[in-house]
Amino acid sequence: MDKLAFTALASINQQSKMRTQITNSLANVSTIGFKETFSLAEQPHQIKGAGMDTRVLPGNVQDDVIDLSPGALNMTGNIMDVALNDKTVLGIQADNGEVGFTRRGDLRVSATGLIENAAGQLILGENGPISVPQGQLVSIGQDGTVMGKSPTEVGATPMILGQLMLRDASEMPLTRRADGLFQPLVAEFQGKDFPTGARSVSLVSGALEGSNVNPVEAMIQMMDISRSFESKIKTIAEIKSIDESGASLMRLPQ
Amino acid sequence: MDASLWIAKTGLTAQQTRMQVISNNLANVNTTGFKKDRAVFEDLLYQNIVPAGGQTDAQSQAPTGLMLGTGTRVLATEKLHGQGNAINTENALDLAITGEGFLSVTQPDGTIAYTRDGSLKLSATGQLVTSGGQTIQPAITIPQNAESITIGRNGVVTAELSNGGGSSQVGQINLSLFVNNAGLKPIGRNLYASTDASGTPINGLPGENGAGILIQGSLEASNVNVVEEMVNMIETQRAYEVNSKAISAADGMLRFLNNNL
Repeated sequence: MDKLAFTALASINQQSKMRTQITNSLANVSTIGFKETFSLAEQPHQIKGAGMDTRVLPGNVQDDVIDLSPGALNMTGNIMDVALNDKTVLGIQADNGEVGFTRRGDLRVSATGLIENAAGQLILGENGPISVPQGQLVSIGQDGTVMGKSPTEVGATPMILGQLMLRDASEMPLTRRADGLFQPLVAEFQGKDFPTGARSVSLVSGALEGSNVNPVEAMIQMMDISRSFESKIKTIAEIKSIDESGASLMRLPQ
Repeated sequence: MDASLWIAKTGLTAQQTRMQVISNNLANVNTTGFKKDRAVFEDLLYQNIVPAGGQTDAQSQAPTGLMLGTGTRVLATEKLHGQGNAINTENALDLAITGEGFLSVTQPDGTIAYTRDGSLKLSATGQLVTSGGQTIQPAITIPQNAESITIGRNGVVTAELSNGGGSSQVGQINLSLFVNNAGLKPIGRNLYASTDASGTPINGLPGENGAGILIQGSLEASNVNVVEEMVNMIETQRAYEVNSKAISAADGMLRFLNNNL
């Protein structure tokens, strides 16, 4: 069998991973604060051997860095909803106790009075989790300051309850953890806090950031992959017929 | 079979759940004291295909890894306890709560449920009950010879007696507060039950310690915003479409494969 069939197969296998990634983006088109990962690219890997240099197998280049470009803002009017600006990310406690980062800002107060997100993950402040006293009206400032105030006292000065752990990730590439949270790419900061970048951190209260998946782009990529899949299958079918005609040449005349 | 078929399926299922949530919100646009729901989406776990920092040869490491996602799901539906509009009904037994707090009512099985629906009525024995006939806690009985009833902002119920009997204070309506309103479990009939997530109720008097005040002669309307729900519906529909496109693309590829090889 000609090796060409295997070259086409290798390409189909690699593109299948790309398709998985695109479909995952499409499935998360409504997930709050979802960020696309930079798409995969194909790179040729040449196999040196006898004959001409035609055996160039495609392999995926992994560029698995979170694309922090903003998603559409959705005004909800809920004071506990925050949308993070620019490249700001919010510190969160992962299930295994490590520090992870997220862009989702649907915050709420848990039964124990701590601030968590709607997925039940504990939001971190600069000095650990932020606790809200019973019955206090919480507001979140532009710089991430969490303030509490009694709703019945008129003109009372709000009490500062804590400061959200906001970090600027413009200088620190982030990758994804298996649980979907972000973590710094640099190994020494993985699962930990990282030094904030030069840009200032800020958020908008009363809004949620939608997913930054561009459905048009994803659909076009999907079309591209579908058509290129078809041409590869055609190549394999072609090889099959060449092989068959080769074999028929050797057949003994009846 | 093909991973992307199943990933797109998670997208379809999640969007369908969201559509249910939106339809329920729209159906309850005129329900007194109704609080809208929001579907909370979450991306599923990621498969680690190539670990970041893995050794690619003796000297170098892979700078980044390859993680493939497995789709999405609706994690929870969250009640948004924003204030609904107060609608003036001029009915002495209609109450709107502005601010935090719930009226507590006794259920037929003896447990306590909580409601924002303040359209109270009088039972045959003169007790204040909800439209569903459940007694509010603490029970307040209006005397037979009452001519008019006044409910103050702080919940004090005063009955003006007939034939110059003067006015008499017959009780005070309490409000129950929760640390996490979103954790209350809606049990239908405009009622909520407390859960571990909501925390135990803290009883307070209207206007004190963070509790809201009562407005007599008004009802709190549903906090559903029809325009917002319509926009959500369009978004859901389109998201459903792109996911079904992904399925048909994968299906088309498999069909092509079967027909041509």
